[in-house]
Amino acid sequence: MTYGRPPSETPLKPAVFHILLALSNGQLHGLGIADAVEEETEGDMRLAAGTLYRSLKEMAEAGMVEQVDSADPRRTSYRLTDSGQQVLRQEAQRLARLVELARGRDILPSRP
Amino acid sequence: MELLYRLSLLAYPRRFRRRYGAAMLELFRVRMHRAARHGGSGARLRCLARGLGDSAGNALQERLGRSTLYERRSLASHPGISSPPLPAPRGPMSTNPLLEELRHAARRLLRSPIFTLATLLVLAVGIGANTTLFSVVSALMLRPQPFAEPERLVDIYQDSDGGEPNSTSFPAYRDIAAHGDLFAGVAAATVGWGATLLLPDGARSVSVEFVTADYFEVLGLDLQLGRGLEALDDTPGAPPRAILGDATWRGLYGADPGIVGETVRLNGASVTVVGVAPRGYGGWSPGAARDFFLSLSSLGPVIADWAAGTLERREDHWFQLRARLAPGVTPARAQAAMDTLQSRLAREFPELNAGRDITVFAPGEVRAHPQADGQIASLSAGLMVVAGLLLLLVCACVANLFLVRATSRRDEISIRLALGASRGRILLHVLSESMLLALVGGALGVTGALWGIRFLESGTIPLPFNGPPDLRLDSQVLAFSAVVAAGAGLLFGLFPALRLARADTTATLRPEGHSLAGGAAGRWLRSALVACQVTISFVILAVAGLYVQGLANAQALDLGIGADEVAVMRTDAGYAGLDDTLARDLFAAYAERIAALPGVQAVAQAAQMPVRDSGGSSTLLIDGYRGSDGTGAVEVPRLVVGPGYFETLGIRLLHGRGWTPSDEPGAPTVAVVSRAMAEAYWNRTDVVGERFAFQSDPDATVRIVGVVADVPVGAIGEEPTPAFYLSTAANPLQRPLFLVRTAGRAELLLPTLRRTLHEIEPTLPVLRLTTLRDHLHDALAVPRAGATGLAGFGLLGLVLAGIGLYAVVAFGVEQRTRELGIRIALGAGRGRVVAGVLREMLAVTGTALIAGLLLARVVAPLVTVQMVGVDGLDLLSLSLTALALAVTAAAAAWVPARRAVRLHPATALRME
Repeated sequence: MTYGRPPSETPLKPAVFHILLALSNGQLHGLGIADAVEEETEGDMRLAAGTLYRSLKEMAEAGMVEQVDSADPRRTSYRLTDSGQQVLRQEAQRLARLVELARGRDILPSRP
Repeated sequence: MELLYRLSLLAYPRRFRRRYGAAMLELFRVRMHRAARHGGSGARLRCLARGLGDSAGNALQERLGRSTLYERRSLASHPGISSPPLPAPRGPMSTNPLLEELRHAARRLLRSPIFTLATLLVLAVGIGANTTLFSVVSALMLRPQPFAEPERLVDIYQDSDGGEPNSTSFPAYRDIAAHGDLFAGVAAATVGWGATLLLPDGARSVSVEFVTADYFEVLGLDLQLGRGLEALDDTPGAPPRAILGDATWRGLYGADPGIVGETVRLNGASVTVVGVAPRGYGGWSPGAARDFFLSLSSLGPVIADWAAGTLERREDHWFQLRARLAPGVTPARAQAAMDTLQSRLAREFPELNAGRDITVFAPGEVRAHPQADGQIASLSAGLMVVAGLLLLLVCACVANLFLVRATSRRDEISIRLALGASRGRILLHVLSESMLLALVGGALGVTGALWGIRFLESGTIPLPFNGPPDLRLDSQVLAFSAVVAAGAGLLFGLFPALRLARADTTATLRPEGHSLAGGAAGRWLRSALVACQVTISFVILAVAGLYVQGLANAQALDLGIGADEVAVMRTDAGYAGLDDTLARDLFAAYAERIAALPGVQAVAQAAQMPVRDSGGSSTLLIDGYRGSDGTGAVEVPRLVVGPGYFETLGIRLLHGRGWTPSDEPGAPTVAVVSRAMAEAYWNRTDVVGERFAFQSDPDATVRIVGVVADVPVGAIGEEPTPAFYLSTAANPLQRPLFLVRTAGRAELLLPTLRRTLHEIEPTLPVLRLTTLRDHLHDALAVPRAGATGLAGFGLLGLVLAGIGLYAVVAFGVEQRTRELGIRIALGAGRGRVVAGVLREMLAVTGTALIAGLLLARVVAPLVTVQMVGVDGLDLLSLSLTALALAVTAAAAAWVPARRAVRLHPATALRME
């Protein structure tokens, strides 16, 4: 069951995008996701616990991620679903389009 | 710290918490651990703060059911929204919605600097004043004393002549303390004493209390330093010993631990310091900052021999008692024992103890003293009322400002509502501004309170503490400020916020239906608010005017003193160890040298300053006079002065003479009386030759040789008081005051007075060096403080009222711009338009002034009780006050009115 989502121009919240990105490398638990995001953004994005888990909760409800339970509730991991892969790709494409636009107006250097 | 975070997790809905709480806590733990490793406690605190803020924001969002996945449709692309698109975030991206909201609020506020600054200033003053006044109330009434197991301490008081519980005698204390089965210990203290401490750079007045040796032990206080007092120190004749108060140790002695074992000079006596009192304990009276706790053996050396005798006198009632109940003993049982004791004492000493019940007060029942507690409570209540009034004034003003601000944003808010923003979000949106302002204003206010506290502690305004007050911004006071600030923020933010969020979107989007805060009810409310402001300001200004008048009158009073330039110096022969004869000769030599100085017109000695120096009084028996109590005994202020005193101060001699050389010791005692005394007891002014006697020595009569004009004894502006003067020849002074009248300015003579004294006898200290003018100036310190303070408040009130009026008129004009435009287009004169706008405001101001006048009439008599020559409101100050308010109102209304009038009709019609 997929959550009906608005048209693709509506951007993902940055936190969600980064979580998906972090999970694209493989299954992670909460702390791992937070660390990965912080590393990938070079310290710019420090996910607060509330934001992280609220996002994960809704992403699970929307079918983007899958929860992998373990005996210890602190060690619950999350895994990207196919739907989640798709959302991630679509968002990346949207961003890519914007980047192209910026390149076209010389805001960013063109590809060599 | 982890506990705090755990608590914050409670803010989340239960299901969420059950599922993710453990993981969130684990994440927090790890981050705290890392922070500690890399940054220490500062980093840990930051981590905690971030965690708490995150919980606050996200828990709210979760409860509001906000989605985390997608951005809201960008509102920035819609027309009519005033807030600009979000700029690129700087620094780590915060994903905390609450923080974001506050940041936006800060940006919005910075874009309206005048509004923000005005509001902050007003809030800072209101909260600062409240905090300062609350710190006084806290010190007086709320701050608990740091005793160990205070629930085991009881206060014991014995009834006075009037049947009210009061201090008791030391022998009675011994009787009470003898009940070893009831009390683990009984401490006694006599408080409220002052002494002069000699320091390397001069002398200083300090406050002291005399205590029993087990005082600190009974109260459960551990000394910071030293071993403290021992049982021997309770006996007269033992060497004087003292425990230093903590504040004094830090302030005067730089917290030097070497002070223990050193001696200090108090009133000339050498006292050994044997300890330092614990931090946070200021003495018997709550809120005070006692300088010294002296042993009972110090009573003789520091005060006088007769003082030491109180330890044996049952007729003296100097001591307050506090006892620690023995284990298992209840206050009721102690009370029963005291009743038995009282019966026994009444039998053994009937004249002294009959009918003097001993009361055991339960722990915590007595705050300072059974008699004073009531007054302290009402004073505290009075203070909080004043503070509350000011805060109300401030909130009314700020509420008005916020209403005006809110309405200017109603379009934007309506559009947001139409686009689906929840009312809760709108509420948060508007409240964030008010809370932010309240937060910053509160912080500023607390900073201002620091200054206010320092001002109060300086003693410029006398406060009912038994000694210098110890006011602190402790956690209690800060918590109070936080509550006040938060309350203010909610109060004046919530009201417009609710109205905005509740606004009917279709109505507000249509051009005509501006029923936002402008409906009849809203307008009435705003007008009422402003009317209140004007009324309160009027009352404050009127009372300030009274104070200023009183002050002016007092300063212009004829005090009966003819001399202007009089230099004053006090010294004490006790420091040089001189006996009476040597002292007399030395002081005579000093006076001679001073008199020979150029410019010096006259020199005299006295025991006390004229006007407001505490002298003594004596009980006299006056032949042929019967007082209201049927006896001929009257208590009359006694002043001891030397030859030439009256001439030096220019006090007029009405009849008879002053002192002559024939009044040497050995000759019959003579006295000079004031005119008031003559009139009071003999019904005429020329009483030369009449006699009176001291109650303590009825056979030795005193002959009156002169009558002088009245000079105030207690306070400037008092009714003429009977007073009598004795000669220093018969009562040689150990601590004389030298009064020197000069031709030139008295201040210039002061260094010479000091130098000459040291030339004659280097060991003599200069205890006081001032001029008569300064002394009289100080005598008016309270009325002056009152006048300045109130005038300041009054002006502030005026400014606030002006701001409030401006807001009202500006809003009204904005509301009716269209209507005004129509009128102008139809040919109405601009003047009439302005008049119309002003009419509403005039109605408000007029009503408020009348109300203020009535209120001032009620308040004035209460205030003028102690004032000189001011009976009630006078026409002049009232008129001036009303004029000031009217001018302010007019000025406030002028700007928006003119703006309304200058509108081009077409623009006005196009608007909204």
